Order: sequence, then C-alpha cells, then structure tokens
Amino acid sequence: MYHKCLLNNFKLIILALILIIPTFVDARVSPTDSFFVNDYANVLSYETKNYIQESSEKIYKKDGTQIVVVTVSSLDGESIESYATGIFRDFKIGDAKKNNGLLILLSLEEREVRVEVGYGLEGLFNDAKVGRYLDKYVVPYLKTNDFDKGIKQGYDVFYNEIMLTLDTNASYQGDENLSHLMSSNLPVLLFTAFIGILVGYFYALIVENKGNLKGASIGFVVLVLILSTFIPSKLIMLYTRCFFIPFLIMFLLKVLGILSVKYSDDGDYMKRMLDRHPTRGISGSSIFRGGGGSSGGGGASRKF
Amino acid sequence: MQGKRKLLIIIGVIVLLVLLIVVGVVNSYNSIVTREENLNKSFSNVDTYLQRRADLIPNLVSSVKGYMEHEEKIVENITSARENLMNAKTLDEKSKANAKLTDAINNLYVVVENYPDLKTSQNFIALQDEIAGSENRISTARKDYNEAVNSYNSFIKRFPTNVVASIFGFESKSYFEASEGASDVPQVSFE
Repeated sequence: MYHKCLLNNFKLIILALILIIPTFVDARVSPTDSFFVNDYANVLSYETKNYIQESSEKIYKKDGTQIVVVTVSSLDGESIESYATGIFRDFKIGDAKKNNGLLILLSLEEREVRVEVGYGLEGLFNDAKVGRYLDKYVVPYLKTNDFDKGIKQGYDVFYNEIMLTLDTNASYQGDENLSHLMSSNLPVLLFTAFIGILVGYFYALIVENKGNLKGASIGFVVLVLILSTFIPSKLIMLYTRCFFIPFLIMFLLKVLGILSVKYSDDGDYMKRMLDRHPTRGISGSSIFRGGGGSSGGGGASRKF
Repeated sequence: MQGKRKLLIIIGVIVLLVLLIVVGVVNSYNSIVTREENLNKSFSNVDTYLQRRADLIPNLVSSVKGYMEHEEKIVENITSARENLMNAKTLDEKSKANAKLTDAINNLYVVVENYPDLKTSQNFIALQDEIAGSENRISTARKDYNEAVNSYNSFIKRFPTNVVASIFGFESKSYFEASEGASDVPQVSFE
C-alpha cells in the first residue's frame, strides 16, 4: 500500500515537471485576472482601477476592442518600446482579426510611459497623435508624480475617441464578437478532446489487452500517420504538448512495469490538463483574456 | 503457404516504409514552404517600414531648413543617406544604409537641442514621433524577420528536413543585422 502511494507521488511529480517547464520562459509581467488593469507598480487608486476595468469591459463587449493598462516598477534593462511590444504580444491584446488593441504602459524606475497601438487602431491613432495626446494629457501629471490622474486622463482620451468612432459606424456590431470567440476556441477544444479520447482509447487497448498488442500498435501508428498528414502542424503541436508526451512516458513506465495506473485515472488526468490550460477552455462570463491581437511597434513614448 | 505469408509481411513492411517516407517528405516540404512564406512576409514588412521612414525624411528636412541655416552639412547628410537607402538593393546594402540614415537623423536631433523654437514646434514634434514610430516598427519587423530566418534556417538544416531541402533546392537565408547605433530608438523628450 505504501509502495503504491510512493509510486503515485512519483507519477505526479513527473507530470508536474512536464507541465511546468514550458511556463518559465518570460521575464516580463503576465496578465492579471482582471486583464484590463495590471497595476504591478501600485500607483493607481481603487476608483481608477475600477473605472478602467468597467470601461474596458464595456468597449470590449461592444466590438472586441481591448484597452489594457499596465504599470511596472522596472523594465529590467529593456527599452520601453520592445517591452511594450513584448507584452502586447504576450497578452494578445485586441481581436485576432481586427488587431484592435491598445496598451498604456508606465514604468516607474525609468520614468517612461508608452502607448502602444495595435495594427487595427493605427489608422485612428497615428504615432504623432499619440505623442501629442501624451504631451497634452498625460505627461504634465506624471511629472508631478500624480500617476493616478495621468493614467486616468490618458486612458479617457483614447477610450473616448475609440467609443466615438464605434458609435458613428455602429453598423457592424452585435454578436460577431461572441461568435468569433466560439469559432476560435471551440474547435481547438473539441479537437483536443477528440484526440485525447482516441489516444487514450489506443493506450487502453495496448495496455489492457496485452494479447492484442500487435493490432493495437499498428492501429496507433496508422492513426498518428493519418493525423500528421492531414492536420495542421500547429494543432499537432498543441496536442503533442497536451497529451502525447505524458501518455508516452506513462506508457513506457507501464511497459517497464514500474507504474500501476488504471485507465479510469486518465479521465481525471485530462481534466487536470485542460484546467492547467484555461485559455483553451471556453471563457467564463467574468474572466477576460487577450483576443489574439498583435502590434508591430506603433505608438509613442515619453520620458517624464 | 508459409512462404506466401512471409511475402505478404515483407510487402506490407515495404508499403508501410514507402508510405512513411512519402508522408515525411510531403510534410517536410510543406513545412519548409510555410516557413519560407512567413519569412518573405516579415521581410516585406521590414521593407514597408524602411520606405515609410524614408518618405518622412523630405518633410523633416524641409521643416528643419527654415530654422537651421548654419547646419547645412547635417541636413545634406540626411538627404544623401536617404538616397542611398532608396537605391539599396540587397539585404546587406539595405541594413547598412538604414544604419547610416539612423545615425544622420540622430546627429540632427543632437543639434536641434540648440534651437528651442524648432524643438517645441508642433510640426517638428509630430514628425519626430512619426519617425521614431517608423524606427520602432523597423526594429520590431527586423526582430520578427530574424526570428523567421532563425526558425527557417535551423529547420532546413535539421535531419531529415535537410535531405528534402537539398532535393528541392532550399537555401539558408541571411539575417538582417542591426548595425551599431541602429538598435536604439532615439528617445523623444521634452522637458
């Protein structure tokens, strides 16, 4: 009994290692749960944070535009331009097709502020305009260390201008946003689940029916061949990362007779995997995340 | 009977091997093409932004000329650096010409400190923002391009893709080097 328990712990440790390794890559900040407000430097008041969060949610629900505020205490030696582009892409601010994201980034140590504009909003805010707005509405307050007021004023200018344009061309709105969300996440989720079930099924065949090992192995090889020819490599990579390596290791351990896993464990295991990758699930009502937008370095920066 | 069975197994194994090779080649070829397209796209982005910045230079020159009469040399340098960039053909020429233009513009910014009227004029600030934005876009696009080159090059050098790459004549591409001084975007600061 004790023996078995020890082995199960061993299994968990291996799984944990496999899952944790890919997440330790980035030195930059990652999105908070509220997504739109990320006050890592602790310079914003409760009211401002609330106001920004509510406004951003409102505009996001309208057409998928995402306005994100990030404050950090230091850029760790990176230039504010490359830091901003970096987190813009990490956060995936804005819709994947419209690229309508906007990032307001403030760093305390370097005393720099930058507004980074996604590809889709470059027409509305060219670099000169962003610079002018920063000079007029943001920098004067930041100079006197009134970060809260500066950020709120700056946020308001950009927010109001986007809102105004949205209201004037209100023709295309509605559920486009929701349907896009479904179409981008649901197939991936379903596909992943489908592959998981298939792999799990073959795994079970191989492990449980040792007598029919040959047939099951051939089936498995054929399946992998078919999948690798007809399905985009991106999805294959996703599925490989999610399921294949852990299954392979479990299978090898099983063959070596070290592990005693019952097939029923795998259901929970898959659930755990999906929980670990919440971006692949369907988003709940109160959780926001990036829509897949990107930026090419548009916007303007100021020292204060 | 026994012989026939053996033959079937051998044929089966051969068919499976051939299938495996065909699938592998098709897969590798498609992946290489995807990466190459991605690379071409990134390069055309770099080109677009180089062009964009070059297009802003005449405006910069004309807005500066009225204020600076004694700094003709600096302005001339910018104009000629722009000419060079426009005439550059190869990747190497482009990246060198781009670095020269960046240096020339930075020299101008240093001198502008002595002309308070120019420094605070709305027109000049707007131009400076546009140019800084273009430079930042160039450096982002260059980074993307180099990443694409890296992924492409290491992909076609890896086994077994290298076999497929040499059969179809895919060659490794060169990086867009960030020459000295070209990597930092000039900071616009108005005290």
